[in-house]
Parts: sequence; structure tokens; C-alpha cells
Amino acid sequence: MPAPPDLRALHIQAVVGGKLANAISYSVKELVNMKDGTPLPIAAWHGRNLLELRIWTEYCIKSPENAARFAIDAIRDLDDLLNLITEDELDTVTPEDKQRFENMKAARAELTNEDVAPEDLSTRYTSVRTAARAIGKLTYYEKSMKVFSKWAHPTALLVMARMPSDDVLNSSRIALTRVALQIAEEANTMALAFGEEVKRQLTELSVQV
Amino acid sequence: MANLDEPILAYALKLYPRIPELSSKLDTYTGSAKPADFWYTISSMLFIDAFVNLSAVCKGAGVAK
Repeated sequence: MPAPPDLRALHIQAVVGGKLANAISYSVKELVNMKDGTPLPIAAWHGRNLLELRIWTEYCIKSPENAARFAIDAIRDLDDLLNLITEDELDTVTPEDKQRFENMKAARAELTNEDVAPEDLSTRYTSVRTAARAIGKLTYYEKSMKVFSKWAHPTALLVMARMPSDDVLNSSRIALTRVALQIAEEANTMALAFGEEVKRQLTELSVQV
Repeated sequence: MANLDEPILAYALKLYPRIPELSSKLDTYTGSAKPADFWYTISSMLFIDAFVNLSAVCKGAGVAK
């Protein structure tokens, strides 16, 4: 007997939300374990990740449809990678790389139409910008993203700027970390509330005795 | 939905008793064959635990309220 539709919808939100929570946990741990001398771009990269994860968390909590969209984007990511490499190119790589590719292909083949319907894949990716707009956080996202991005990858500013002293670098890293952890806490507050809501709904929707 | 791997299932089964109302419902399925809603419920519980873990991580980082 198939599960009730409401339970399936709740499940996809719980799965996506839980995986987002795991990703947030990872970046928070990395940030708090950083030592003096950790390059600024590493802190900025984690900060940028947390910003995106915070947007996705609110977006996916908002509706099961949003959570499903995010989950389907994972399949698109996998398909993108698999379609990138031709059979001819595969003959030129090391056996280890070839095995890695075959493992990804096998993982994709295991997904059934219940996991992702072919018609779902015909639509475009949902960008994090689109998600931010959908939850009314576009300005917040764009401003925060700009700050983190300036330091997360080799922008002209990062390449051309005079190398600051270690003290300045450390204080900048600490400032970025503080903002990033605040963003993580926002996601955490939403995730905890959502977890309680899932538990309440699971009790209502699961096995009817 | 595919059934969960054995170790993951064993872990998930430890989680749902935290919700007594849910536990009393799921415990009615004592046989090896479980309906789909049982698996959806157990799997959902597994991921709720990630929220709890995140909260602990944020508290450890000194940012959780």
C-alpha cells in the first residue's frame, strides 16, 4: 500500500532539511576549528556556503514543492557530470577515475521514477537567487553574497590588494566568521522549529491505528 | 521507497521512541513486512535528528540562543 501523499511530501522536506542541516553543521564546525593563520578565503568560502544553505533551508521548509525542486536539482547536477564526459574521453582516464565515473553512473541508474519523474528534469535549475527572491530575502542574499564572494575566490581585489598584516587578516577572518555563524544560527532556529513541526505532523499522518 | 539499509534502520529505530505518540503507533507493526508509511516515517525521523545535531553544533559554537 503506498504511503499517503501528505506523508510523502513531509518526508521529502525532512530529508532535504536534514541534509541541509548536516551541511550547515559541517561548515560551522570548520569555522570554529580555524586557527590563527587560516587563509581568509577559507573562512569566506564557508560563510558563503552557510549563506546559501540558510536560503535553501528557509526555501525548502516553506513547501514540499520547494524541497522537491532542490532534491531534483541534485539529479540534474549528477546528470550534468555524467553528460560531460564522452566514451572516448573515458578511454583516456586512469582506471581509478573510470571506476569513479562508473560508480556515479550506477548511482544514477538506481534512481527510479519514484525518486524523480523524467518530466521533472525538463525544467531548469532553481538558482539560489531565485530561492532568495521566493522567500523575500533577495537583498539580504545579494549584499551578504557580495561581501563573502570578494574574499572567497581570487577577485581582482583579493589579487591586487597589498598583503595585510597577520593581525589584520586574523581580525578580518574573525569578523567574517562571526557573521557566518550568525547566519548558521538563523538556519538552526528555522530547522529546529521545522523539526518540531515534522514530528507533530508525523504523529498525525503516520500509521493510523 | 526502498527500505533502509540495516545499520541505518537500527539507528532510526532508536529515534522514534522519543515521540511516545508516534512510538505507540509504529510499534503496532511487529512483523518483518512493514507498510510504506512506516518507512517514510522512520526515514523522516532519521533526518529530524540532523536538526537536533545542528542545534548542538551551534550551541557548541556559542551561537545558539
